[in-house]
Amino acid sequence: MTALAWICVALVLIGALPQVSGFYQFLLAGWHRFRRLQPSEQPLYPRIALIVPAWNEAMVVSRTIDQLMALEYPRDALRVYVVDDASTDETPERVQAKAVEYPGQVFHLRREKGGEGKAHTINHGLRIIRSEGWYEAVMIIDADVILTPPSLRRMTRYFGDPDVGAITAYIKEGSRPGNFMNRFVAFEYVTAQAAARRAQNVLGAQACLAGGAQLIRRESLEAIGGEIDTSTLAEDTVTTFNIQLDGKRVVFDPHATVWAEEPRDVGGLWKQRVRWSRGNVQVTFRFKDIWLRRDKGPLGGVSFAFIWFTIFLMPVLMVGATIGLLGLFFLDRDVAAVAFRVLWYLTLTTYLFVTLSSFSVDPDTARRAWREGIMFPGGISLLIILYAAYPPLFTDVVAGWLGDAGVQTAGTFSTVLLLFVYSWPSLCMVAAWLVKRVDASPLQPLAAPLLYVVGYGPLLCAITTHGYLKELRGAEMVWEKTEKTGHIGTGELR
Amino acid sequence: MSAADEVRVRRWPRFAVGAGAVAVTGVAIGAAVARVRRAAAAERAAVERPAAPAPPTALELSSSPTSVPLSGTQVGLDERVDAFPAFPAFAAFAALPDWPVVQAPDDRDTRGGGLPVPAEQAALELRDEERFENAVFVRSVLILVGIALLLTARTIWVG
Repeated sequence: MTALAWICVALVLIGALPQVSGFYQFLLAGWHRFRRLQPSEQPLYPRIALIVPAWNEAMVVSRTIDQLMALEYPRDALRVYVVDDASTDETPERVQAKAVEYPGQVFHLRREKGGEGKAHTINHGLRIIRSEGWYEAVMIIDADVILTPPSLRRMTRYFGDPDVGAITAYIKEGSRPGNFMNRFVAFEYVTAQAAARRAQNVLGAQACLAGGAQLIRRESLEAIGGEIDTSTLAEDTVTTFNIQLDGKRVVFDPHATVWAEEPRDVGGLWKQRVRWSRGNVQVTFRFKDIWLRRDKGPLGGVSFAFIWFTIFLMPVLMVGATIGLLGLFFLDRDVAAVAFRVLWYLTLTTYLFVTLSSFSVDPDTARRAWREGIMFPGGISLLIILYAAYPPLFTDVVAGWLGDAGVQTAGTFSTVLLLFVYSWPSLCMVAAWLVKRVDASPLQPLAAPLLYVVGYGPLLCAITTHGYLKELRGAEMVWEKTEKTGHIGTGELR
Repeated sequence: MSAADEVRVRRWPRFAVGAGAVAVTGVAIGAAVARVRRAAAAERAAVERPAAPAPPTALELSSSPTSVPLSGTQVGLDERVDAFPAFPAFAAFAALPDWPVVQAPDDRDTRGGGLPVPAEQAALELRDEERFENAVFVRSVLILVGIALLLTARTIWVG
């Protein structure tokens, strides 16, 4: 083999790293039973100041406050501060009505000049709460989420350990009635939260306090300056990193559930996730001195860096795998076939392990979103997995059918098909982008079935790529609010 | 008999081995799952729950067909907007050991909150959580074993 061929092989193998990383994370998640931090057996009820940033949340804010008052938490140890970011709808009136209904427990904090984004709104509330000095911990949530009654008291159990600086909950997709996109997100959250954050518990390093449920100990908040970061689009991740760099642990409690309403269409998801991916780029560079530095604690560990960067670089690695396979195709087809088989065999193994383990980690969501779990990589990717796992199905059976139908499958046809298959790790992102275009066109009803064909995973990669490109060209940082309708429920609903 | 037929005939023993391995895996997983379920049920039965008026334990990952009425919209278990037809194989997922659920808390009167829970209840919940984490570990191992056997069977079969 030539040096060029070896380089191509290396590109393909490096392209398989996200699969290895996914497999590794789910292995760790299974190990959570042995390595999780044990919460206190006795309930702990520190005084909690709950901050709810709200901008034009009239549809949901009253319900949110009622739910907070329904928490299984002593009333005299809980205060709710709704920070109204100069809302122009009925949010102020709704909150003030609730302040009257729950005197001494619900407070309306009004910003007359708003529009600076969520982080600034939260900081406005933090300044007031800190000046009062009443609180022992602060809980930051979104205005549209529903905290299940036991969630807060479950999170506070970890404060029994003085090394714990912050706790986050399991955010579950709760749109009711849900559509295909909600179910894809629901399954994604099983993998990205219920499983991945269990894995991070095992590593002792959390990547991010979920924006919808961040419980921070007073000392940790003061240690990071008493405010949250306003210079990035990932303020929750920056907070998480800073608390851990201060020597405190951040813990994920998988048994504290918070329901959130997520985007219902491709466009909404795209807008939300571009913001997230840009935030991740900013965090990666902002904390460039911690990667692979053991003296920085668990955040500087090899495992954490491996997981972070394989996800961060996934679009690049996928393009690299395509280049490698195509290069080998023209250099040495036999080697190309072996490399292809290795790449997709790993994909098959990871797919089976991740999908089945996700069903195991959250059976409730599995019952709701099992179809989306199975179709997560997309129909085309599943066919390629089948081809890699059992080629005769296509080379004999399908080719036989096509031959019977008079289609010539040898020669140019098979070459073009093979090139398509080798290119799919990159083409899938282009296809996902086309799904977004379809979603915004008169052909919008086709977007859902197309997404099942192309895959939700590729869609996330395409969005990430777009976010990186926007960040690369220095696009303006705008906090675009995700539209919420207030249709959110709990329990085993469809 | 053509050459292709001969190849197919030669593959049958491999197919039998592969199918056998898959069947054995299935039976092993099924037996293990049943065992875990029985153990969980026995353990639950052995634990005496706190009597009323303590609120029900609150592991919300339940099968409770409840919801929160919002904006005048009460959505329920039967409501599906764009659900696909039910798939019988999903029964396999439903057969997974259930989270040891007692009762979902979400349908309670929202004016009933603001109270701490009894310490005994919190301790029971913690035990439920530990059981669930144990189940996650056991299932994880079973899934890995199943995948390994499946891939082995495939390798034996296809070569």
